[in-house]
Amino acid sequence: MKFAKSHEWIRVEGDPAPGALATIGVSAYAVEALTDLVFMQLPAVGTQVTAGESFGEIESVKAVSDLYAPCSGEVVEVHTELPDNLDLLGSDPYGEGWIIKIKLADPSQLDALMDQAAYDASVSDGPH
Amino acid sequence: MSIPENATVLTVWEDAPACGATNMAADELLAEEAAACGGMMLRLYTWSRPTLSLGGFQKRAEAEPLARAAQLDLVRRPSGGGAILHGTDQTYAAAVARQHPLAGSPQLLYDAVHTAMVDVLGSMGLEAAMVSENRGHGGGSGESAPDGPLLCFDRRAVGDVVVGPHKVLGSAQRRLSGSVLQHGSLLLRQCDQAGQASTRPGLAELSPGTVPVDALVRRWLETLASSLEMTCVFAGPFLVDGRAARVAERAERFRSAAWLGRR
Repeated sequence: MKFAKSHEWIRVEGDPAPGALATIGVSAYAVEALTDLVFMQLPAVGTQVTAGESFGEIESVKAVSDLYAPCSGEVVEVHTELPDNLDLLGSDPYGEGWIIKIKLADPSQLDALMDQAAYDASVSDGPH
Repeated sequence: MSIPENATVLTVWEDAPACGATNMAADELLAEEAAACGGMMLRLYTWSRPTLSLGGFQKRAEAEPLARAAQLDLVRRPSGGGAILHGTDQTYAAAVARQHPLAGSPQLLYDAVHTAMVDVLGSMGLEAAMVSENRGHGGGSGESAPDGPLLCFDRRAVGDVVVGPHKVLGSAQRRLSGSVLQHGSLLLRQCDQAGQASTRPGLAELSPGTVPVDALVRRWLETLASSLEMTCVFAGPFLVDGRAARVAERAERFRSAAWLGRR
């Protein structure tokens, strides 16, 4: 699993080749920082997402935040039950709290992301 | 963590009244400038017409009856939270770069701005306090929308500023990739524009004496800067020079049916 500075994670199934299936979610740290989630807007299947650009939005009691794609690709599955069960983001952020699955366009983009240790160090080091 | 060079400066601008789309576009530009400079920026403004500003995901259809009946302009903010009836409030937009210490979590900036207001209201003899628990937001598990009360001042979020049972200052954020934009509204006096929907007392009704608004706002921002060990710089109007033209271009998006009707 790799992490973006903007707190999204991505997990590739099998070899990270073009067209590989990758699951995207948000980190436990980000969910905890946002607190009290109330709404989520997700893309449709077939949407092309671009690394570093917004693919959805999430609202907490105090803030609307963009969700940024860690890598580019085509959305092939959307966790449509998530907006009605936002608790999953907090209770199981790396499992049942997944957000979208994409068909990976450029596996080299994974190289720019952080591994778990680097991400943990970054969030313990201050705000992002 | 690297602290931006300008992290110890709070730059304050104050603009003449403008329409909703212009105000939202100006705040978007403010957020971009904050991201670039690394410091904290705050823009004070009012509205050229009574306006209902919707939170980022509120349903337009739920606001339209009130807007139509009270002849209010309607605009959608990029920030979250409930709708605000502008006309007798002091609106602000604060922005900090994402690497700024106040950007770490939503509550940090919220509490900093609101604590300063509680202190200043207290010095004016008002028993102001910050709310300690969320109430009236709807949403959450089992619901897919921020379907709490339409109006921000009917909601209570941790950190909201109240005088007795009356909310007088509420804020909400948009967390962007490069910066955090926080909108807030200080209710200066009761608004009679929208009948029963807007009959909440403001500072003028809650204060035993006259509220010197300009002095209050200045003390609020100086208190905020002091509490953060920042220097407060009052920089005049934001919408000058090249910014006005850029804001005018951006305002078209906030006027569009697509933006207003996104939900």
